[in-house]
Amino acid sequence: MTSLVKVARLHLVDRFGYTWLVWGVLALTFVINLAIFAVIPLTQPSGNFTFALVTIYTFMVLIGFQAATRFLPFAMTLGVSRRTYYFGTVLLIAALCSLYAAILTVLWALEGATNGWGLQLHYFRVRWVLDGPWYQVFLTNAVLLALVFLTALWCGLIYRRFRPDRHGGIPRCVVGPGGRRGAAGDLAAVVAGRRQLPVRVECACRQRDAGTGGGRDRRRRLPDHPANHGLNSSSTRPVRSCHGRAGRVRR
Amino acid sequence: MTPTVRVDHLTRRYRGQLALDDVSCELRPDTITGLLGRNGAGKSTLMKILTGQEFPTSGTVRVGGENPLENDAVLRRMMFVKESQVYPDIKVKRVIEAASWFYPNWDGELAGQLVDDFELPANRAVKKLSRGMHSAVGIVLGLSARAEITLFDEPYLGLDAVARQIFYDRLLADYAEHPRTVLLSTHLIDEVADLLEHVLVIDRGQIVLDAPADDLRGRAVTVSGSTTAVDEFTAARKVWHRIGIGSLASATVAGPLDDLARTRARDLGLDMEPVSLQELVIRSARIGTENGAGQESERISA
Repeated sequence: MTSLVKVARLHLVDRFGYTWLVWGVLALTFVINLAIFAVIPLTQPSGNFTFALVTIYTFMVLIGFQAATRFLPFAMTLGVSRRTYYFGTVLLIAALCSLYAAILTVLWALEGATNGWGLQLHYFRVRWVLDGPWYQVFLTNAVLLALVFLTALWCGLIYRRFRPDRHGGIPRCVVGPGGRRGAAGDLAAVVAGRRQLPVRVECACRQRDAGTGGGRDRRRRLPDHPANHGLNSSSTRPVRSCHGRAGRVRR
Repeated sequence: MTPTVRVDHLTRRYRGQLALDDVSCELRPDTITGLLGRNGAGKSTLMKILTGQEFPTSGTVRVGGENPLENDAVLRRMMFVKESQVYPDIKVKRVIEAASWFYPNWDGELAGQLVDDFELPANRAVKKLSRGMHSAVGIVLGLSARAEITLFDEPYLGLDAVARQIFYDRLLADYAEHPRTVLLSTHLIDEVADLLEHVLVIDRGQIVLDAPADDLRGRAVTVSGSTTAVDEFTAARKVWHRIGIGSLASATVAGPLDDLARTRARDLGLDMEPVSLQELVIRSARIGTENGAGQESERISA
């Protein structure tokens, strides 16, 4: 349990991302919307409608993506297993999205009470989506925010798994590694909860040595590559079996 | 007690490429082991499998008798600093702060000292650091965590000579006070030669050398002098390498040399030099790439 809390805390170390970025930009778009609707006449008889609340969802996508591409490799360096990381992140997101949804619901109520900030503006009361009673508004926001975050997280995982090889330019899904199962199998293993995973999870850690294969092959073709200087005495390589176990030296 | 790391018949195959080929070895508790080898030899792959970040194709890894894969109890005793560690977009001091939560033996004082030593700007975002400073952050984390098993994969990419020396000094000083298992992969063999207690050389996915560093020091001797003297001295010995320029020659012969041999060499007017660890590694890597590798390797072990 404590390790889940640690993972949740790890995310919050990025104070900028989880506070200013999300709410600052939302506040900015809100002010812009207010300013625009204050100077133009009523657009529809029933009020002014805007879907600018999507801003907060956009930022949830960004944070979710980073959770897979930046925080996961860092967490793994700190001795956190993939499963613990995933559940810790889900825990944080459940709490965070509830909080965000609560704030959005309060603002939604305020908007209703002030007749759309005096402008009949529907900013937090998004038409057709957030029209119900307060608890529905709260639930809709909470579930949608969490869903968007987690979708982005999984997209990030798939991206890291299959992103093009930095050097060779060939996507990993074509080249390997091993390629026994697809992304779905790999990702399922993240939460599989088994000690002996039957599938391999290729995580963010993979990509950094992605160039090794291509790079080495290039060097092999060029016997006088600087990397081979002083080492590569013969340009023709032996068949691997020639230096099998006999090549090992142990005392 | 520090757990032992055991690897048995470990193979890792990427499509069309064998990264690790039936590797078996053991990291003894509380020693500094050097993992040496050429680019793409399989050093990083081995370290990633040891820390459960990569999956073996076959074979087993046991840390204190347990599989590290997705095993929090084992993983939290390990720290793996990669050569291009990815950090979140946060300030250096936040990275250090976050890492401190995960290790019970974390030494905040040491971390502060190291940040000063490396002149790291604590308030700068990690992504704005230079290459060397980026590496320094990893070193700060790796040393301060005091994890029972610490793995450094090329930890000083882009670090200048002064900073590298700081790393060696700090590692040694802290290791003396708090013994732990350290696995250090590097290309700068001569620099770390005095640091290592045990040496693992990996070449094209295979362990070609696995021996205590002290054993290696006497394993080979380079004799140089006149061609005739060198030829006479090396006639009955195993020669790894020989070069000759005009009437002068230099040959590396398998050691250790006994007193009789030393006296003989002196009588012949030959200069004797111990072979550096770096040279030994280069030889063993070369041997791995040549035909008849079996015999040559046996010479090393002889």
